[in-house]
Amino acid sequence: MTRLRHQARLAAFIATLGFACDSEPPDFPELAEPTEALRPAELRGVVPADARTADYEMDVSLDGEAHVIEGSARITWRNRTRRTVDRVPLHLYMNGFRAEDTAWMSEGRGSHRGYKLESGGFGYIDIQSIERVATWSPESLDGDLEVPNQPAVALEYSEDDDPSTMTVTLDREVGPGQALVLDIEFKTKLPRVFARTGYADDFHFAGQWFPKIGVLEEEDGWKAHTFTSTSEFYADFGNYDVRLDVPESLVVGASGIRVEEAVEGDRKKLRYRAEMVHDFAWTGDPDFVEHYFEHEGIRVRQLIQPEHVGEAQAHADAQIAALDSMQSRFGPYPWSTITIVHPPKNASGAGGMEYPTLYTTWSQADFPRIPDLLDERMSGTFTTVHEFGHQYFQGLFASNEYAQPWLDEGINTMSNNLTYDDAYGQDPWAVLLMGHALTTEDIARLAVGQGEELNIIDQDAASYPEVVGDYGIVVYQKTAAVMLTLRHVVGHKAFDDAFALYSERARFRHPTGATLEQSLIDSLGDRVVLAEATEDEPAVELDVQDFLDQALRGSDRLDFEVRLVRNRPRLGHAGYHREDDGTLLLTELEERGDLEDLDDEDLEGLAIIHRPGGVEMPVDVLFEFADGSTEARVARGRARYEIFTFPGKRIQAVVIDPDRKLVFESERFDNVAYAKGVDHPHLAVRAISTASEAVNLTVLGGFGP
Amino acid sequence: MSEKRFPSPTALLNQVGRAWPVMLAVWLSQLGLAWLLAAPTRGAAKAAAGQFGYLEDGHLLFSIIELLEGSPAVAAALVGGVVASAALGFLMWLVFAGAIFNALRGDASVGRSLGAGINAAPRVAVQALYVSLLRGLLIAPAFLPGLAGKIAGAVGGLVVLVTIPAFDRVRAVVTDPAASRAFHPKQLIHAVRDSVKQPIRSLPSVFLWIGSWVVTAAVLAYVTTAPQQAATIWIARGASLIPLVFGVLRFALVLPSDGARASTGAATGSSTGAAAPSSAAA
Repeated sequence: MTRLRHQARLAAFIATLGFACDSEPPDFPELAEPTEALRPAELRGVVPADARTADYEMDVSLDGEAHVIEGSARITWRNRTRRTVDRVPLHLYMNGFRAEDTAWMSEGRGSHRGYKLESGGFGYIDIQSIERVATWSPESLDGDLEVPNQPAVALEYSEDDDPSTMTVTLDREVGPGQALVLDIEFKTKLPRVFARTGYADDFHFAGQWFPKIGVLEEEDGWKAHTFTSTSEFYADFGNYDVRLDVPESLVVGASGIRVEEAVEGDRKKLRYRAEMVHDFAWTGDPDFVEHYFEHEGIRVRQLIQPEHVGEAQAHADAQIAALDSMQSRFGPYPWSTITIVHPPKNASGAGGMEYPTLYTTWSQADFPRIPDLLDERMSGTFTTVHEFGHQYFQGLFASNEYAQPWLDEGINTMSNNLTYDDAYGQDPWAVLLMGHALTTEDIARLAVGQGEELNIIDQDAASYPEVVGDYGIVVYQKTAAVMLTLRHVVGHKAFDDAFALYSERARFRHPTGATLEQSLIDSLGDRVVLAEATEDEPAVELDVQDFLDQALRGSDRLDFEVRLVRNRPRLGHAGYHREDDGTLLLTELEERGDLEDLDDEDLEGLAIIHRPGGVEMPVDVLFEFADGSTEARVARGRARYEIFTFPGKRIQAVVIDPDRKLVFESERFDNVAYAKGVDHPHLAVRAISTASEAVNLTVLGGFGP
Repeated sequence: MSEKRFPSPTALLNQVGRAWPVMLAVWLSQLGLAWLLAAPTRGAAKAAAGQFGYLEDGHLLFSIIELLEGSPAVAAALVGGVVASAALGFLMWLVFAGAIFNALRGDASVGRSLGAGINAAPRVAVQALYVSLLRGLLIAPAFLPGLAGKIAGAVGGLVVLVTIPAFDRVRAVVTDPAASRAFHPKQLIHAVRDSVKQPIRSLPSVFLWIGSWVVTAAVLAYVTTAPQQAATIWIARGASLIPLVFGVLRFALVLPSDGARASTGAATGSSTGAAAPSSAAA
């Protein structure tokens, strides 16, 4: 495996050199297509047969000039609930791009992540016919089903208020344990790509391009949400068998494995098979350069733009780091392939999106990097890590992205931080600016501070109005910060074990937030002891559910500050005290002098820890004394403030959260304070002052001789 | 025109050495102004930090960003200081150029040199305007899109280097109290022509100019890598003398080593204005 990787690196390097010299696209050594869509049974982990619910057989053709996909889909749907249904909802996601007044377009006003819809760029999906082919009760819903020979019946259907969903009225109910087969003829006009899917010149990316059946839930019935700009997707697992007829010039990548390929004149006919996935995406571009490598028996294929082939190895390294980290934390990756797509510059809106076994990424920032001085690990490769992370959250787990977007985007962002931890060490630098690190957790903190109080985490995607602009902050970064905070507070191993339990429960099972919260509590316990009880004080504990309730379903900030740090004379014994015989005895007051002159034993150090934020949770506090000693305590974090006294000790400094466990606390500047008279140059203030004067000096001299 | 010999290094250093009081005055005024113009930033940053401190724990950048983000006044003061430095720097050097040339011509008095600098400032300002326009014209094609812009930028950048010794030469001419037609653009044209005609003689000026920016860049790089160290600002202050010395050396290169006034060409507006010192040195 290592030798293979070295060969691939060498080939990449040589090919890059060649490309730089003569501008010919390099030719990387090809790795054979896997023969099975899933990894071997001993490597793939648990793949439950009863999770297979909706199979798709599609046969479609792409008109590369008109950017139209036309063909048929046969959906085999299994009713695995105790419900009986007389209608079927279909997602027609592509209709989100049909007009300015769709729910998707009206929310974003024709733009997405800074990319805008261009004139003539609308897209749609038009259903041309729907037939019920069969409804029956198979012996078992598991495995491939043999469709009985029944007369096909044309069904009635109509788009809902928003055309991104459609309701199909069944002529026959489908009861528990029964299966339904629908044949659908459809035509999809791809939009000019600005949001994930569409075309740009000869580049085509077909994502959410075919009619998809909703998810029937035992408790709540059909789930098929209106497509909005942040709602993303939710679907059942199944097998996909897809025949593509495309222009011969296209280099094609798709979910799953390619099982057939034939060239007929100026057309290319391909067949793909994907197993136990809940979506199928494909892409084609004549300019794609193919770069291959293998890791853990998984074939990885990059479809990269010629001008970015030099980045191929960087993305490969990021992919390997992500795969290693996530497999060790969240269980085996079950599929045999990964396809990484690099869209061309004029289709950047397609970048940064995930589909089963295939995702799109972005290019790295182009600037002169100086090792250890000026560098970054965020552009391009972080996207690769993030989009691969979605193979778990939600490719493998398949949570409802509309109902609880934090469960995939936020938990995935947390997992990306952990990938970086695993690859580079705890809280590594993400940006290096003149040797100064901005770490992954620094970035999470800074992001959280941009809008943490506007919306709560645990709500559906439609509850984040586009104009507020806090979806990314709350759903991605705040969720990650909350989870990383919990991990630091309860201990890394305990947290990782809890997440392993969640992963076990969530795999192929459409988990909800409740699944995650219950897994955390089952593994960590209701309460985690952070400081043992003493003779005077009960133990300090973190109530896990309470923390999750505050963090996920509250919009309060987490914030602590050092309110006061000072010394005062220790309590003396001067004055009249009553003796045992009832008389009053005077002890004269001794002249103690100034505070600075007192011995430490005559003093009492004092500090007040204030909690300006609304979130209540314990926090570590470190106290430093003049004799060089330190004392670590845990503030309970329930009351608005807590007073700490240290008789016989001269306090010098107080540091709240010295180990930076509270990633969720965005405001840290008030976490360190010194007692009066202690020389404590504020290093950030000094840095700013020094930089200011030095720049002034340069500018003053710059006009000089 | 034939190439002129360089003044000997000893003569050059002697000449520069005679100007040390003015150099010292220039340097100290730069240090003082830089410190003064950074005072609002210092004050705003201290006020923003209040009673709180920062422990060195590898998150200095986060702390700086947090401080700047939480207190826009700090960033405003920082930018204000830079803008004020630019404006003052521009004005100061209109005077300092004449003062340094006066000192290099043999007048050690700081007062008289500054007086001479003030008198020459309008002439230097006008020539500075011409040279700025010239540089702008040379650099402008770099903004063309595509490869043409890149090539034009590279060529323009190289040609701009010619304006370095030319600007020195024209300042040498117009700071002479006896200079005539000192506001005329021909002075700059002649200086450019002479610089082009005497490329080898112009090279040391270019190298010294580049050297001064290399030193400046190195100091800035050092300052930004270790801004939290107490000694850093003193190193920056000390190192700022080096570009100044390089600059004064450049001025000395276009003046005669014996301090004779380079007035002949200036008075007539002929091309020998800047070259005259070289003749004298020869």
